[in-house]
Amino acid sequence: MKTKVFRVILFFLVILIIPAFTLFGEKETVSYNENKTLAEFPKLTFDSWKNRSFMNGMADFFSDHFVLRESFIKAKNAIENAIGKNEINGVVEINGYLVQTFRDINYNLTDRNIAALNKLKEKNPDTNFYFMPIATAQEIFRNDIPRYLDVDSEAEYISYCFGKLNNIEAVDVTDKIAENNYAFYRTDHHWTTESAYSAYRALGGILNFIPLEKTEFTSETVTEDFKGTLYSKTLNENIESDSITAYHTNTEFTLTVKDEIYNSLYFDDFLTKKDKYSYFLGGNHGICKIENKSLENGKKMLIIKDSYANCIVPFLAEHYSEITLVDPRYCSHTQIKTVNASEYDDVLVLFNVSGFSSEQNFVLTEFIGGK
Amino acid sequence: MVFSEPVFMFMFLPVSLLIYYAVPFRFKNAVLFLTGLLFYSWGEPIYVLIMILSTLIDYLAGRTMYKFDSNEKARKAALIVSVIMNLSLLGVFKYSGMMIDTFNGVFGTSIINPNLPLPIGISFFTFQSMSYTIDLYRRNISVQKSFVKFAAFVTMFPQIVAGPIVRYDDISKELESRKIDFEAISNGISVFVCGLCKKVLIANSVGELWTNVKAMDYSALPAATAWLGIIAFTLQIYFDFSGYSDMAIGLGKMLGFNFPQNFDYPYNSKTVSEFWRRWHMTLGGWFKSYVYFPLGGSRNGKAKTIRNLLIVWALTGIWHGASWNFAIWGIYYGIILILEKFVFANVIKKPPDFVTRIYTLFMVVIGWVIFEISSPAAELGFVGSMFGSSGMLSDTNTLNILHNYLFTLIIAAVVATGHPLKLWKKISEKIRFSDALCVVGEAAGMAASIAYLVDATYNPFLYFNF
Repeated sequence: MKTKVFRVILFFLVILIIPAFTLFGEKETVSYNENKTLAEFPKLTFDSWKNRSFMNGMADFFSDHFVLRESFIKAKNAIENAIGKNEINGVVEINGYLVQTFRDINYNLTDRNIAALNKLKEKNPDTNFYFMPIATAQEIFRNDIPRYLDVDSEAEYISYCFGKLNNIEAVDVTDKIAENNYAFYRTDHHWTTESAYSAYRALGGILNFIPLEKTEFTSETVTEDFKGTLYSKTLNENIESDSITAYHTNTEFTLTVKDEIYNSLYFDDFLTKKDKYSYFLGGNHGICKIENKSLENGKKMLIIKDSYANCIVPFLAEHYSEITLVDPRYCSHTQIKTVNASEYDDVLVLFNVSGFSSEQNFVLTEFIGGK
Repeated sequence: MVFSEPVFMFMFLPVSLLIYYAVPFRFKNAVLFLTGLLFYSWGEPIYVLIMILSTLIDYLAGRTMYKFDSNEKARKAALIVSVIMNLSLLGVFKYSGMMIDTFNGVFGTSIINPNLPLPIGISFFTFQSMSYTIDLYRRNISVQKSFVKFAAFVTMFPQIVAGPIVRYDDISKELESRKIDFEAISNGISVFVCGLCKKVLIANSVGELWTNVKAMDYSALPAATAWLGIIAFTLQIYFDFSGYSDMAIGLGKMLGFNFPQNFDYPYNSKTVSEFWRRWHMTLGGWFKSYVYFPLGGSRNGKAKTIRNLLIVWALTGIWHGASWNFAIWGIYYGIILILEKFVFANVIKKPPDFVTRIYTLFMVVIGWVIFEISSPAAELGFVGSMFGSSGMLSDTNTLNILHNYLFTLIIAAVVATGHPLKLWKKISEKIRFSDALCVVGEAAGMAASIAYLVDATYNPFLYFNF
């Protein structure tokens, strides 16, 4: 009988303490890892009752503010890991790295995206076009990835894309990146500045500039406690935090985003936030322009890109008077039409493979102007 | 609202239970009625009115029968009003869309389908409430004069949306007086927590596997993947449905009610007929009492028995959803049951148990293919791939499925036999503190279930795609 009384007390403690803390405990207003504003307590009105927004709001409020939410999720992930489901939100742990899996390629989308790029090249026959897809960490670790994960090959995907290009030079830097010890962040899906430097060196031969040696830069580790997107997806505490390195020279750059002009390509503010990768260029902008005042060669480059470009751009900017970055994910149709590719010497398309293969907005590229 | 969502477990349940326990007995049924209304209207803020109307009409039908006790015509009229009203609700809200689409398809007409959303639990509460008027008409039970008590029977939250189909007769005594003590509450908690684990830890997990397989292209589906998929569904539907029934039964106990058992390890059955005596028992019982027996059951010769079985099974099928594949599924079982009864009655007793068990499971699994895949062509395609029509036994995706789900599938299959529980009962008689071990196990199960429920809403923001 004592056990029965104990069971009843325990059960009621659980179903009373959880709501008490959830409702009356201290609450965050934003979630760091989910990067969203957390739900507020819904207002009860006749309409919100009738159209169920009150009920849905309650469900959101309750799940967003659930007491010890992240601890429960970590517990669940630990259980899943123990029973064999070691892929969490598409991320697996390999050799101390969190690696995003690449599979279920949408070839129709890829074909559409490359066709859009080919059309842009057709409109601009005198401009040099370069297509540089960056394989992600999965490709670097391909030999350590268990067969049962049933992933697709990024190298094969890159070849598939290259096969579809018309008069556009294909650039594959996968092997160069792989030479680095620290090619990708352990907790984030981006490549490291080291990898970006390797790609930059490789581009030198192709784009006809002489890349600077590492010794010509002063390197600086700007943070050592970076926990990126892949950490957010898995909340895996066993993975060592990442450090972010930046390579500086004395060259003076300006970065123009809309009407704002900045005198640096680096944004220290982000180093104290979660989204530390935004240290480079302050994150992604629809269209922005980088000018190198100390160069007089007048060379201009257009980069159609995703966030992978943000850490290689400071290197490339050493060799171009002007670089315009277009991020189709943040551009409207009207905005992208204001860019004219024929004004540039080189057009570089730089996306990570996983992002490019699922990028719905890339087709906007077609609307970049030409002659 | 469903039992396995945080708002139910951590808002509705504690508040309802505290009020329910705090008020004196004479108010408890009113609390059940009101909390039931809140529970139902949480999911159906408008349709709750339909439910109240249906409850009111059945209550008044009961009162009418009582008042005109000696007037058979009046009693019959009251019954007919109640039955027609309940069946019309089902007809309009559940089957009108399907009927209109079928009619349009057959006759080339273009009657507009109103596409009425289905009120949650309508198949359950109409059946429950009909059991009252029919039994009253048959004089098996006595009238319920109190509207609150009757309404508490129909609307009480444990059983309103997903069964078990509790008949008025099952709980009529408990509506008048019931014992609510630590013993009952404690037992209720055990049953509830077990049901929660079945639903959240097992059904949801293997269900994920079936969702993946179901979405694949059946013409290229390796045989092993097809089998894993449909076995996962076989386990999912059992754990989901019986888990939910357990939660209902457990909550009933916490409120002082003893609801009928709904599942009795159906996958252990040695014939398909036995399977249906152990699967969703309250539904089978309902159809037996209110359709099969009134039609004459098996008392009027072979031909009529076969007719009656086919009617009952077509209805059982269509009860599960307004789509023709459910009717096919029901008739599929009707035919198997007829064959078992009249053709193979002697044959089926001969082979050893494991053979008849495999036969039963096989029939049930094929049944789930019909149940889950709505188009007959796709059903054939799926069954084809189970037998290798794709020319592949397995691929790397099969490997992936095995790695991710094998453990859960094995645990689920073993638990579904009921042997672990039997074994535990034997052991627990011999060791001390077995009760305490149960509490520890339940606490762990509940903690894990909460973790899984919380994670279901975890949605990491992928700035990757922006």
